[in-house]
Amino acid sequence: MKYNFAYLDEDTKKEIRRKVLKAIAIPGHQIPFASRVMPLAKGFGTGALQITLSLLKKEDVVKVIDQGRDDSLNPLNIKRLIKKTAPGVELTEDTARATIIQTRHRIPEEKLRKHQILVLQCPFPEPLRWVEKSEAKTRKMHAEMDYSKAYLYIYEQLLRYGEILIGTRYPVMVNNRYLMDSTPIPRWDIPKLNYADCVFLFGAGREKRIYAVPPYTKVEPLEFEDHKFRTEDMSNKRCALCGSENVYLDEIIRDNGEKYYVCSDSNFCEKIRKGIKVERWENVIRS
Amino acid sequence: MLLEVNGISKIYGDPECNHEFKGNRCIKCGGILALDNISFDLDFGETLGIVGESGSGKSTLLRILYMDIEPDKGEEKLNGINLFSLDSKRKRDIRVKHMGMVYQSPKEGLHYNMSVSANVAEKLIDNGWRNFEKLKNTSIELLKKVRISENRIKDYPYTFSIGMQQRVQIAKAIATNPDLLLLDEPTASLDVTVQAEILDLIKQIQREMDIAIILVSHDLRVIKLLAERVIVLKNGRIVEAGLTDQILEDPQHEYTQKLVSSIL
Amino acid sequence: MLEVKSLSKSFFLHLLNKKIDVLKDVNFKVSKGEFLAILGKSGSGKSTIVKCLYGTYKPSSGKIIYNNIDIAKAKEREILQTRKSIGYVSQHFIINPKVKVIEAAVEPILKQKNSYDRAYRLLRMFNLKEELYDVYISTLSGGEKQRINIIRAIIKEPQLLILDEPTTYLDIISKKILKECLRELKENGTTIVGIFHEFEMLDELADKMLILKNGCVTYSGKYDKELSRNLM
Repeated sequence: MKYNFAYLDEDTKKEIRRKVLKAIAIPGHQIPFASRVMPLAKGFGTGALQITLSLLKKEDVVKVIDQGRDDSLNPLNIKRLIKKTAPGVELTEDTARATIIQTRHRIPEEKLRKHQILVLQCPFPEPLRWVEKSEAKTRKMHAEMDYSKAYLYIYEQLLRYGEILIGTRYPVMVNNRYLMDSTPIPRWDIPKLNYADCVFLFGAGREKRIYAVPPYTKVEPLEFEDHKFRTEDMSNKRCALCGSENVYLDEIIRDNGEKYYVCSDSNFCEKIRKGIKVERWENVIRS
Repeated sequence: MLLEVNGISKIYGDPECNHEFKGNRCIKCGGILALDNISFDLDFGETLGIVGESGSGKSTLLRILYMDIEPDKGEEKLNGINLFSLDSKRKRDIRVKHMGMVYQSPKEGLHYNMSVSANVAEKLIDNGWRNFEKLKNTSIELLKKVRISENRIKDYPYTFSIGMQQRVQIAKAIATNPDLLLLDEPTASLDVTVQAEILDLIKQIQREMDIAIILVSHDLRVIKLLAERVIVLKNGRIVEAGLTDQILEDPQHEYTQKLVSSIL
Repeated sequence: MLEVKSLSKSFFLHLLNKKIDVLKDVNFKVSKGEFLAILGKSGSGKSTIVKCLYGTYKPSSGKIIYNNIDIAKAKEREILQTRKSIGYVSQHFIINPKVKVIEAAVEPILKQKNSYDRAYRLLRMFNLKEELYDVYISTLSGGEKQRINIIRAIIKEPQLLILDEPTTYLDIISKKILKECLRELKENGTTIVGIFHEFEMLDELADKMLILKNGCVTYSGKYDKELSRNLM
């Protein structure tokens, strides 16, 4: 079967590119798009994949990660699809060399530059869904900047646990205008969104929404006066493989009960071990 | 005068139709006249009862006053401000600061996926509060006021009985010390002993807070206990209005007499 | 201070399609500090007059002039306003049974200073024991409830006190206390209009009397012991 370059037909790519431009023009605002049927089950990154494929040129270098790793099942399948339908496009694990990075979860530890595009797989685009089930009402709330109810999400956390333990879906204000759901990004990576050099694109295939954070855009997490935003606590921990501190670590528990930590970003860890210099994000640490 | 309501009408039907009503139905488009030319006023600290059978338009009226739905005609003035002509944001502001609503079923007024403390805090957050400790402590006080103990503030609404859920609604409604409290059949879904508790609570709030109350009920005994004045609605129209004891002991209109005789 | 002119009241019972005339052309006057007794057989319209005075019933025709306001034609708000200076003891117990005794007693003047002191004073005066103060109204006997009714009316220090058969459930001692209380109120200028079937309460207390028969006034004038017992 002969596919068009990068699987999608040109008209689809045109539509998605237009929607991406619209999303960049209105930072944080959810743009509806007609999500196509993809050879992936919904919930496995169909939205982000459509964005990646629509933007792909022969000269691009693509990296796909899941939980920071390049070699888990999800990225491998996606890379296989790209290899088959977009011949000539280089696939890489090197963050610095990639021009498009599709990620299911994390923003890489290595700082992304002006020409790089980060495409995120987003399951839940609507930050207010938890408080308001009706789509019609949430749209109205966005239109009127009626965002006070988003604080309830954080309130519940603080009430129950005394601190914020949510991993993802932390509500953020983009460009002082739109409330955005930061899924799938963990708290640790949220500060990276603020005034970044690169562009972030969020694709939700099941929910049929695209939204974006353009470069040099203000992104502020919601917080109470007396309980400011805090990332996960990675102090006093280091990677068992490369020895790095102040990185997002995965916790591994051995059969004998021993706990140790490993860098979540596999490419970063590898570079450190090889002695390669890696530029880090500036505004990262806030825990 | 706290609240002035003039000529409120609500029709569920074809907006293009030039309605001709026979009874409550439009003979041209089949539309229903839910409310017809309702006018009344309410002073600070007064309690007004609105009574009528189901389908008389009571809940519709209350939702219009709370600005949940829009009327087809009429105006509502709160503290002299004409509410229906305001933009969405101003309406929300006024609602949060000056009004409180208790729905007939707690499912309508509460979020079941968060703690009762969060439910009460919602109104305060809408009012601009951004300090967690203050929000939490105030929610504890408010829940205590409706006799829900501090060790239950984290619990979800469905873990409480319906009577207690109603109390949570009440705590939320009075959270911002509003001038006006709207109650839509607050005891209808409760059994008799629990009804008494809720009515007691409302009476206590009346005494302590000097708040004006509009109370909708089909049960005249509830009205008798709480409201000084009463409006009787039938098929969307006011058929009689007066002091509660006047209406109960000396009902003039045939429909009111029927209502009154049915409580004996 | 209270003048009733040509007061008539009829009821139309829609369900039976019948009209009944309960009061026909009643006239009387009461001056400040006077005690008017309303007497008559049951069904003669006594309670109806008193309810018209309080604004519970709207008269079919006539005037009720109290402090320069015609209650018969007054709007609801005006009636609520005038009620602030009127104490009303009804025949029935209309207090919320789930309220405590002390709360019920203090409620009419809750927002005033010294409200609780005045309440305690009256509770003691009417011989209600301290153990009862924190008890719910529903647990009281008929006589005790009636005394609370009376206290709630008096605690307001009203200009006009209206009583509708206040002695029905009272024992002899309580009746004596009530009579003393009414005397004191009279001396302090309170106008009293009362329906009593026990003449002992009225002797040496009532100034005027009004006797009703089938809704019509058959006697209106000075209170006279003999006359009252004979005409009844």
